[in-house]
Amino acid sequence: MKLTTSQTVALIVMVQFGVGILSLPSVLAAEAGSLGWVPLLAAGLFVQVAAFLYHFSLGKSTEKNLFLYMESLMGSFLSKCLTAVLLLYFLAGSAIIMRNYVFVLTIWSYHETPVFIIILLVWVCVVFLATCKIHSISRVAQIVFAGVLFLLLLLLWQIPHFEYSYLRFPNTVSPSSIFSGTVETSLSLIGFELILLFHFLLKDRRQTLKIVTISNWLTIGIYLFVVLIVFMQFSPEKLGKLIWPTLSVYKLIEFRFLQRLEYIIVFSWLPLIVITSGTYLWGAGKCARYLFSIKNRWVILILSLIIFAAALMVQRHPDSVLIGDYIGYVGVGAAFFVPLLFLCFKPFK
Amino acid sequence: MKKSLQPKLPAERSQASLITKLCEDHADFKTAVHGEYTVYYFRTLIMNERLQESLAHTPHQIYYEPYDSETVKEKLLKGFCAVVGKDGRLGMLNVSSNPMRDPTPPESEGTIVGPQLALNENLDHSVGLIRQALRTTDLRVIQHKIGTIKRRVRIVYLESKVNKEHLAQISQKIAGTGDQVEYLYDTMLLNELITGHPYSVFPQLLETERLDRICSYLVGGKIAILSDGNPNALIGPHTFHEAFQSAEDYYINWLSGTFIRLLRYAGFIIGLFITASYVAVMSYHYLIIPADLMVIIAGSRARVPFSPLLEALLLEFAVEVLREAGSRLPTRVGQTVGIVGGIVIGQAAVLAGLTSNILIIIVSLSMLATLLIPSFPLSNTVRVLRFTLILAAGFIGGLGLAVGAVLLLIYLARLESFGVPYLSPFGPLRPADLKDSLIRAPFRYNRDKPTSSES
Repeated sequence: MKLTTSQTVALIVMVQFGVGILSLPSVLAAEAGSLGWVPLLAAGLFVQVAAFLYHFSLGKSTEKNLFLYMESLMGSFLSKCLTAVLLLYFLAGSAIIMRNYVFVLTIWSYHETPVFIIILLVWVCVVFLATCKIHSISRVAQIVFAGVLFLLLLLLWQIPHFEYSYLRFPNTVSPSSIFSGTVETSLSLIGFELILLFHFLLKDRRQTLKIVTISNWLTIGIYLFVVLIVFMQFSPEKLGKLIWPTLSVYKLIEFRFLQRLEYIIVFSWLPLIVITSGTYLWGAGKCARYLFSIKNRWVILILSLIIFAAALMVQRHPDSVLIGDYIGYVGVGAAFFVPLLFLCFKPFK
Repeated sequence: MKKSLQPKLPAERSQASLITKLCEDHADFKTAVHGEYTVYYFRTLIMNERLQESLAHTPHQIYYEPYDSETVKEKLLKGFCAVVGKDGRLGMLNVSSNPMRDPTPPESEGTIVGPQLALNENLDHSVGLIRQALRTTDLRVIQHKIGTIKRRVRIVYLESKVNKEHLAQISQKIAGTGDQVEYLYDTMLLNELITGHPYSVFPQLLETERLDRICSYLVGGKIAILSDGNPNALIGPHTFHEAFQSAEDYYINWLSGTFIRLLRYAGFIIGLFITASYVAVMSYHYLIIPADLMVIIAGSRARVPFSPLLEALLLEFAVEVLREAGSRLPTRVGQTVGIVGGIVIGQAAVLAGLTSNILIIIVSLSMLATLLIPSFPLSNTVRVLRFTLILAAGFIGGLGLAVGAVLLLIYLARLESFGVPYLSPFGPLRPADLKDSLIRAPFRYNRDKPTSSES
């Protein structure tokens, strides 16, 4: 069974969302103030360039999977080296996304519950998803996508309380801050590089450019929607003090029968995190299977234990954010470097 | 069978002793002499009038041939009568009595409007009903025999509509069942034997007794499986959303049909999650309830000596006991049990301080919501899963509930019924099929064969 365009788009968008959407507005506000939407659009253009790179580097491949394609381009040794890098990146990505979410849970809801238990519960879901075939993962992504859209639309409940003056042009903003905002945003757009694996599972491989383009601008559009709402809700000074401002907006939404909506949102975010972390783990499994030629079940089991241990090792939230940023930089680098490398080798194929 | 008499020399001349040997020690086996013929039959399997009539008019027209002992046994058990001539030649006469009830309205899938015709336990009659409803040569029937005590199983489909891959898979699975089972007493057993996930709590074949429903699924390219002695047909491949469809949806206005269908989906969600959510909120996340409302709930729970988890489990258990007790009793007694259980015991439990009013409302709502689901197997699945989710919520609150929901979603996404994704058309998204899933679109937009019948 192959992936359709809509399945792949849903999958990439869901992987891109992750925890990033909860914290992105404050990151953008810190870098570019009320002009935070500019770096967002710039990052979209940045990813669009990558989409073209993938299109040209993978477009006419006929191989069964990425690894065979890499072997045909650059030989077995280089191909295995690059796969090892991707394996480490996918594993680290899976672990840190899971750990960051566990921090959200422990900080908002479970102050006294042992972290071990929270990680274990999230980990079980991640592993269960990662053992699925990719079309099953994409089915989950499509359903969760609809649910997430509904949750984000709830933010509109705050329309009466929007403060439009917060969107005024800031006094101090420099091109360098816009640039650093763009880089920060691109960390939240990581996920599109999985097209490297998905491309070979597509029903129609010529759709790669279309898929990355649609998913990129869909994600940017949704981010923009959230960022603008958050910007109109909190002043730039207040935003600087909030770690997850999107959750803080949910906190402000109250009904006569329900308050502190952010509790529900925090739990509702679980499927999203499971998709993000699980898909990276699935990708790591594919890489490991190629490298070590062992059965998939054992690969996933070993890799799962590794991400569980890695998640346990990160003890403090700032460390987790920092590690997440580093992994993000590696991801952004890899997302551009790999297709460029393919393009360099392609003439010699 | 009835050919002009061309006596053949029998392969063995001792047919009479063979039959007698086959059927000795059977109290209902009878031997009678009728003129120059001796007849052997099971008294309980034949229709006496048919036998007398046949013997009076047709014995000389019987086609005599050298039957082997297995065939003789099989035919006698089908209600045939063995006729042995003086020269030892053997013939078989069909004088079977097929006791069956008259066609009745569907008991378990009743509707207020629309056709009221259900299958019954007689396989030939059931297939005949389908043939009468779909008078086309496109309707094909394949027969298999299952079990060591043979039971007939028939696969019914429309040649031009069916997906050949699914047909091959189902046919192969049924044929492969062979002697795995001793006696096929119900189609549910077949359901477990031929589906890809036999231990799953989710039904992978739709069970229905309604003729109109079976015909509409056949026209939609599905495959019906019917068996001897069972009034229900299994329809496959089956997807999750079909469990929320009822025949009535199509006999009422599309808007009302859509509303009722959405209500059923809501019933599924409420039935699964509402009690577990109560436990999670009361045990861990009471901050999400505004203070005014919390005062009322706290007042209601003030005298209850149990934790929310134990309270919910006890009440859910009590409701399940009442439901099970009521469902096994005649209608009037069942109603009394419902009144005594629901009103008297419920009221007394609140007055005694064993449970809160709020939880009684929630648990009742949860049970009623489960009853909204037209598919009985899925409704039972919700009943079982509800307890798991209550335990998960009691263990770690909202996260437990979320973990349960995510695992359930992933499990459903993995599930396939003969290669068709169980969650289709929601995941994978098939926009064309959404017209008859979450909603019931008007017929003019809803004429196409569902693409979910494709893999």
